[in-house]
Amino acid sequence: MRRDPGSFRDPAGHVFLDGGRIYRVITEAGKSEYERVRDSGLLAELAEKGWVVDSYETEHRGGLPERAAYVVEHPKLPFISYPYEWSFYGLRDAALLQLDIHLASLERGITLNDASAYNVQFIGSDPIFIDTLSFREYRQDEPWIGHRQFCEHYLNPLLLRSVLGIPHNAWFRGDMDGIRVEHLARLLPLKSRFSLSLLQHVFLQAYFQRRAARARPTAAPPKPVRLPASMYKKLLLDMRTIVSRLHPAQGETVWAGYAESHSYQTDEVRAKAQFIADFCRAVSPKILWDVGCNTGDYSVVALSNGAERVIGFDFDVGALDRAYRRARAESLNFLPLHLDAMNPSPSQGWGQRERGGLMERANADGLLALALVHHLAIAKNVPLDDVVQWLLGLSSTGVIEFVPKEDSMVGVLLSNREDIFASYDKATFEQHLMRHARIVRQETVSRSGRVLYWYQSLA
Amino acid sequence: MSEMRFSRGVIYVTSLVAIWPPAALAYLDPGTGSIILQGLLAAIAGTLVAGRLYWSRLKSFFARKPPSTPEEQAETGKLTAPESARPD
Repeated sequence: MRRDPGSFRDPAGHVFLDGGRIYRVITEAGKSEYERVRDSGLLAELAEKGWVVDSYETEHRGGLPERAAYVVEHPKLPFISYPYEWSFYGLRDAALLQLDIHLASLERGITLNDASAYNVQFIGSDPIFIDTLSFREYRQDEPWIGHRQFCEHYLNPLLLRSVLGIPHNAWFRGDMDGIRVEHLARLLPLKSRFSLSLLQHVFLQAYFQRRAARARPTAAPPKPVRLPASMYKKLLLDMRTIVSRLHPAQGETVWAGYAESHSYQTDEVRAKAQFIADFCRAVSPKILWDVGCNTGDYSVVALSNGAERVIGFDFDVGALDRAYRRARAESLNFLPLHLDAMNPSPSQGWGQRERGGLMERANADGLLALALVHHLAIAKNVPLDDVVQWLLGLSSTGVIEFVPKEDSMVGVLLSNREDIFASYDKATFEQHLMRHARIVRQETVSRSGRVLYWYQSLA
Repeated sequence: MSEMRFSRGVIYVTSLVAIWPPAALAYLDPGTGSIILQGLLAAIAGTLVAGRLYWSRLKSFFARKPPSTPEEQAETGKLTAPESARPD
């Protein structure tokens, strides 16, 4: 039993991990609020809707290092992801869930004490709220305490992409608190000041913050701000309208149109899909990682052939947006996430342990790495053996595609640079692969000589 | 006398320290801007509500005086008996 390294801020309770089980300990400090919220029936109602994670009180106390008023067990989520890994629409759906839960809570005289995007996770492509201790009793005329956090975790990252065309992922990852109001206010163009919603939530908020920081401290404690309940609700509803209307600024990105323009012929696509279908039917992976998933075509093939769940990764935000919207529209057990394979999410936050790095969270029992190897080995100069080892480290079995130099897509990568990759060929790739794995099956799937390898690690 | 003044001074300083939020000296809660904004929004909404109330009073002051007796109301066709008062 160990405490989740990311669960330390709230004195009302902490999350503990015991093997595959998740326990939330509610301390004496959080006892009465917990009871009030539980007895209101709100949590059960929201869990029923699939908005909030299920909780079951348990008598289990074994190995818990602190005095517990209550111990609650939650079901284990299939994969933990962070807002800086989500697609634009994933972040937007999480924001809307946060607001909808808040509005439903206010109806029962309950509010949320924060608005952290880390309180939302995904099951398939559906967001779910996981911090059951965020709920507490609403106090008459109190302001929206989580407003700034909502702006920095949700609104501002979305605005970054929808107004400026900058994907939120790298910037959010660089600051655990998201995109700061003061920073965004400096970035947004002049015309944004004519939007009432941006004026309020970005410019005025930043202005007041700056002014308060400059003001001399006075002896009198500041007068508490009162926000009538009707205004509170209106603020949440307005925010919901603002967020629901946001879309990425620029339309297509390079890779979003890849499925239509890449160098495959239709029968080649069919051969590739057949190979992946055979692999999935034989292995039935519970969690398949599709690294370089693009818009999710082969994730879908995997899901309809025995893969229980797919976590997709891609570098291109446009492709991710499409993949996510498709997963959502078709209710697929598919979560597409942002990944720069050259620089996966690190372990970071307090003690450098608060948010786990991607490799720490790797839990795949099946891998697809299609049209990926040449991007790492040729575009990024990673030695071929290192690429193979990294991929094999993600899952003990999977399918890797090797794209030879003769292929037009590799030709594009080499068009503006010297070919320094003398040992980039099929035979060398196979040698590297066979040093660590057995090749279960291989098949050439294109006229240009693309080969799929179904591997099984030796260890 | 001076002792009294001194103790009064101590009380003054102590109470000043007590009511002075220590955080305000060196730190600022990052949510301050957000809270001030919400105060402003509440004030604007309050002003609008008051303004609307004033405006509607002003309008009704200058508007035609509404009929006050039941007979007058019946003449203008506005009288409808409440549900409970209607004969079966």
